[in-house]
Amino acid sequence: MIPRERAIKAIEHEEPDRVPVSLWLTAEAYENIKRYLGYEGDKEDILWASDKAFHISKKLVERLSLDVVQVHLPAPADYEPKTWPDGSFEGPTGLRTKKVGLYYEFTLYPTLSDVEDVSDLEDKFYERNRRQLYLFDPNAPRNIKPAIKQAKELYEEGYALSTFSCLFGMVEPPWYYRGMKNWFRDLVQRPKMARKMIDLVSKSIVEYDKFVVDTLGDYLTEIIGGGDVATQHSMQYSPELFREYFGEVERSYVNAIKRKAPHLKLCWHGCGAMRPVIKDVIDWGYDILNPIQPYAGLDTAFSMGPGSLKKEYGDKVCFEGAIDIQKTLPTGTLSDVEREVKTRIKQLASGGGYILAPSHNFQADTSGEKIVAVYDYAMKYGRYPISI
Amino acid sequence: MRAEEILEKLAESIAGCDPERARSVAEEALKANVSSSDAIFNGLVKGMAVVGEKYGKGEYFLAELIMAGEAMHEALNILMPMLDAEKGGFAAKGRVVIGTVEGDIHDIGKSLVAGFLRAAGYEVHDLGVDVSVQQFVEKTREVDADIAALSALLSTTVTNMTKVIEALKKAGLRDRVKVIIGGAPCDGDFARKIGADGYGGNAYEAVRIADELMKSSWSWRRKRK
Repeated sequence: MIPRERAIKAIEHEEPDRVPVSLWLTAEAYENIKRYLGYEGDKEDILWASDKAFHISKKLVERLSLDVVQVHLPAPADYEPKTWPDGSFEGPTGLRTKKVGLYYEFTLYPTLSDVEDVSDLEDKFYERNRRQLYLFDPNAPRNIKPAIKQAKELYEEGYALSTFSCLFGMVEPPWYYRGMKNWFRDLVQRPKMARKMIDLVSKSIVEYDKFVVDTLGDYLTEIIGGGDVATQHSMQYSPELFREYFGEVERSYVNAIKRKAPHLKLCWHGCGAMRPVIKDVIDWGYDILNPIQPYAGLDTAFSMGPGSLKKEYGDKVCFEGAIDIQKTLPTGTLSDVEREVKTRIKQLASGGGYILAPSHNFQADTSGEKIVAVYDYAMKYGRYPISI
Repeated sequence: MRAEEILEKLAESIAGCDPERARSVAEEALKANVSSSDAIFNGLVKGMAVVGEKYGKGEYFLAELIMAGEAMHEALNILMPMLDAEKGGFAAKGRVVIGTVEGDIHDIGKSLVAGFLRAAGYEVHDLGVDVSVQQFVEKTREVDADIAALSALLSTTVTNMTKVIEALKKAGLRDRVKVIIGGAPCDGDFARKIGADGYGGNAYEAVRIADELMKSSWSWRRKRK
């Protein structure tokens, strides 16, 4: 069975030959894997998006038996990455990041935090975010041929290809632009401002994602969007507000994409304890839910416990993720990792509907050995029929 | 307006997560000669309790906690300067040094806890984010803190909490300061493992734990004088 068929079967709730696997990781974790496998110096040309963009090698894709591989369009040809006076770096993902400790962290640049009057928002949105919006301008000059060529090759080799939605989806950019405090107040007390903000963001996203579908769509299996609406223990704001503000725009986004390319699967990436709105995301037309953090909302109504998620939503959405990166991967032993992989397969894999992956990007604190072990154990225990 | 009515309105402004209203009612309270400590403890704190209850029941979320925190901040900005001037003075419940540990810039949870502790009557020294071990130790010594509150969001930085605790020991401060921790990768087990005195899963628990520690630590606090 080729990887794409395997992934699609799983997404469509059929049992393939084995549980498909995908890879989410930080650039630092990639270095750990490379060191462990002795892959330094290998050709790296598959662009991977994470907290920052970096390239990984085909050899790793093969070693881990990945079924899902990322492809991304390049930034406009005349776009220059920029370092800002605060030391933050603005690169081709359009987000500003700065190295703090181990990582490049998002530095928020709330360009619209001072806007008080909703009628000013639109002009300022385009005026102040010109550089970033240019990155996602379908009309910008862009050398797309190599990306299309690579996508075609990977497609022909049988991989399922995924790409990220513009700005990683429409839920988070409003708080990047407004600042979190402002954004929460907009949602709760200034609905006109909140609606306008979402409207502006969603326009850019729909326009760019349609362009991505036009260029890469034939080769793509999956677009990953959505965004974080939860925290470790609960939601960021009420499920009612989430529905009220995002329901309509998300539905029309899903329709716009699926109308263009009915074969495309849409993945909602949302960290944390988002259980109360999983049903909504499914109703809006999302096919995959990622990253399933097993300890989020533990022992509460918000719990992302994989066993109960499978019971409630297993026939309606495909889960991607669930291999715990908060405790097991960084602090556990290899046999803990083995137990984790077995547990998640047991909880999630029956009847399809599961793509095994970390419960978010593998982090710098996880050894290459343990990351590779996740995939080796997945090959060992993920064969259908599951017999764990 | 009667004092009781003002106190009730103050509580409502916090419970309703309304920063503007909190500011204007706090101003009214001053005009009406309501004592600041009354306004804080019989107004703001009561409002906070309502927010906590609703958060606990799943009716309020992070957004409301942050807005309620902002509302408290607005009201406290007006009420705090009057506290010292008031007859009999005002003694903070305790002194807290708080920060997000080195290598970590996540501050939502940390700032919430700082705001809630402040509103609950603590003197709070917020060191911000990416706070070095040394900064924690120095500030703890400088202000003679009762509690050091450490926050981390990342599994890669949570280990720096251990370093802070070790450094407090080395500096001879550990028996004079209680250490509480919070953040996504922590839990009660982790707190015990690294030798912290408490773990709070949210800003309310943080206040409750601080209060408990201050009560239980009464004897050592007296002893150290």
